[in-house]
Amino acid sequence: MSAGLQERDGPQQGPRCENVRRLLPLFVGDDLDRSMARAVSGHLVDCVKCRGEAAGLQQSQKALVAAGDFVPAGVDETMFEDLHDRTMAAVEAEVVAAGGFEGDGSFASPRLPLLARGLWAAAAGLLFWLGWWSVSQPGSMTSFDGAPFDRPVPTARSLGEGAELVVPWSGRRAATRQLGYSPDGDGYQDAAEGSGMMLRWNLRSLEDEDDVIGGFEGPEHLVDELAEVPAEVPAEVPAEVPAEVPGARRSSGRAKSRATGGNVRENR
Amino acid sequence: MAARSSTARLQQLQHSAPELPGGLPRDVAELAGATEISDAELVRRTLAGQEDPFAALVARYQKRAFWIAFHVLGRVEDARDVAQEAFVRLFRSLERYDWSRSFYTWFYRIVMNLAIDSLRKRKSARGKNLEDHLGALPDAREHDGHACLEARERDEQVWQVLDQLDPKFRAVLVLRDIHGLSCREIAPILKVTHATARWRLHRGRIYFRELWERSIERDEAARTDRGANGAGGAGDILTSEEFEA
Repeated sequence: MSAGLQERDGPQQGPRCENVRRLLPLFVGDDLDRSMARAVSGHLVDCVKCRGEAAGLQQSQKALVAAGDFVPAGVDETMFEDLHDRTMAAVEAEVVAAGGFEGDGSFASPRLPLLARGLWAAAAGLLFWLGWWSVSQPGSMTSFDGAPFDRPVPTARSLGEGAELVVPWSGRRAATRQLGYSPDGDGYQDAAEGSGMMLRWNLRSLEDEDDVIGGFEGPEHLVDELAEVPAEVPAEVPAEVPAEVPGARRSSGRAKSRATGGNVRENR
Repeated sequence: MAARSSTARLQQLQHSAPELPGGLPRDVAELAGATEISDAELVRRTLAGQEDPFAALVARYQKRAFWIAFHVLGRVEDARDVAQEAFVRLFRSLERYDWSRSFYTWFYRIVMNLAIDSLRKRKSARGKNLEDHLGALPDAREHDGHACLEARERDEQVWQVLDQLDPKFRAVLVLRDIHGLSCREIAPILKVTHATARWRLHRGRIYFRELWERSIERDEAARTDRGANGAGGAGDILTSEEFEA
């Protein structure tokens, strides 16, 4: 900017004054850097108009600075002592509201009030207990507990050698078994008390058609009953698989399944 | 020159021991007066759970907080409330203190925000009211002499002019010309860039000067009118009394 001022020196007096006047508000407050301030003060020596402008700005600024020294009535040491006491009392009230003083007389840093913290802890505990109770009750019933049909589900054993079990509500290639029953025929093994719903039931989806499990072993009394179930398609089982069944997306297998009645298919 | 005065004020604020209020407990007074203990150290001790360091911080900064608030607001009561509230806010937010920045910049920002908020609320609630400033003026009976009265009138005019300024210009003028902070220090306090702070200072001084000169012209015109109406007014009263009689 000082270079600009120098360029306009000489006959171009007007533009130079304009530039200097733009700088005057900062010049009177000593807010220009040294080189620029020197250029402005050099111009003021020669230019009466700009000097008058600077004097006006300086006068108003002096009045403002002088007003800063003004001490109003009632502002004295007593007021500041009182202000200190009031401030500390307000801060201590804040501390008490936030959790109170600690044992050594000092105060803790701000935190949630005790009541709020207690309520949060109680709500969290209640939620945790409800969740635990809902999954740990051995006798609790969910939509997966119990048989999906009124009659026993046919098993591979009951359908005869070479048959593949298809559970209509879970898709052609899904087989379910309760963890409590051993597929090796070791008998009924109940899940441990409180082991929860997710451990007592397992839903297995088979990705590859060749890996289809032939069926599962049910409890002894079911196996005996199912032994008398004919290999024909039961009339009660719906012919059409509901659209929301997960296995419905597998169209090729589904088409064959529909052709055979929806739930039983001859093994290849 | 005004600039010299503000520079001296800046040096006084930043490089000398703070002026402490009297009547402090001995421990607090020692902590507050110990220049080797920095503000950040007092903050750290407060966060560690001690009470005295915060009381020392209050002692160190309450006068500055009060004066900044007073110069923005122009009223003792409001300035006192703002200073007190600023320390409560400071206490609440001590855990968020940015250790890489200076404490006083952070604290001044809290004070300035509260003061500007209070000023805006007051302006919107009551508008410009001369009584706001009269309450801040010293009792005339405490002063004797023509010079004191003139100074009082001049101060009154300054507060009236400041009250007409936009708070953003007023804040910069107060911090720079009255409290002597540089534009580099003002910028973080007002959360603006350095260039914006300089621009506001530039425009603020121009506006202040225009309003100040207009105020002086009005004042002189009013004095002239009072002088002219002095004899005429007595005549009017007489005429009125004669009329009633």
